[in-house]
Amino acid sequence: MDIIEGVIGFIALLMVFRIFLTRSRARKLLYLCCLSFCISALIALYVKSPMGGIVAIIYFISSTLTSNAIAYTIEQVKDIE
Amino acid sequence: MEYIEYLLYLGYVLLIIGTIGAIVGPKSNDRFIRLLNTEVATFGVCFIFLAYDEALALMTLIAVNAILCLILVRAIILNAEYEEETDTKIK
Amino acid sequence: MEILLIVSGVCCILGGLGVILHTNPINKIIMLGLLNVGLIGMIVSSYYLDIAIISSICEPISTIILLLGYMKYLTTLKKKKKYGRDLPILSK
Repeated sequence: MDIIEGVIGFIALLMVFRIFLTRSRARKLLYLCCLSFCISALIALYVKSPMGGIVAIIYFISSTLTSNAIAYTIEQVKDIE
Repeated sequence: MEYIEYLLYLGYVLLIIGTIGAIVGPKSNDRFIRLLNTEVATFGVCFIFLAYDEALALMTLIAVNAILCLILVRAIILNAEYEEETDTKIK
Repeated sequence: MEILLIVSGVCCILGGLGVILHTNPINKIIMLGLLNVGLIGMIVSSYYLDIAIISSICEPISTIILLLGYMKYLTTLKKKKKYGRDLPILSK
């Protein structure tokens, strides 16, 4: 159990630094999506009860909604700018 | 460092960064950018509520922040349209 | 220390600095999402699970309002800059 949390945490830290350092806007969105998947897995592994599963499911759905909204806006704004 | 101290200092750092950034941040003449800088201070207040175990206050602040965001964005757009009307009328 | 606590702390500090330092509003909104990830991680890490549910439901609402508002604000600014010189000449 410990080694799984270590691997997912390493991927999450890598994604955080890549979000902060990269310049492209679309890649930043892609790394944010990957980071929210990692946090969803860490929540489900951290809480040892069925309530943790419910929180992880709701967070997964709402973070996907956020990423889709930002992707749609990037496509719309590219025409205006 | 203990967990509560870690959370409390994180909240103070975010509150100070957000307040200074809303006043003298880069390109803060634009109203929309200043609104986005102010959100950072809100998250700092959320962390301080979390450190002092104020669960109900934290829930209320998070829920009201979405409504406050709607009102401020609406006000900024109306103000921009009003200034455009006034500029064309003066010229 | 727990691994969720470390990831959430790094998310919060880098997100707070990133919101202030970027100048394009869409980059700022992406960094605000990063800051919100850190907040939800911290709330779960201190076992307030009901507040985590409320917070993760209210996050996309706020983001969608900010994005739609930014699109309308940008359209207003571009229209002002595009027709600002031409309209008074036409009205003469």
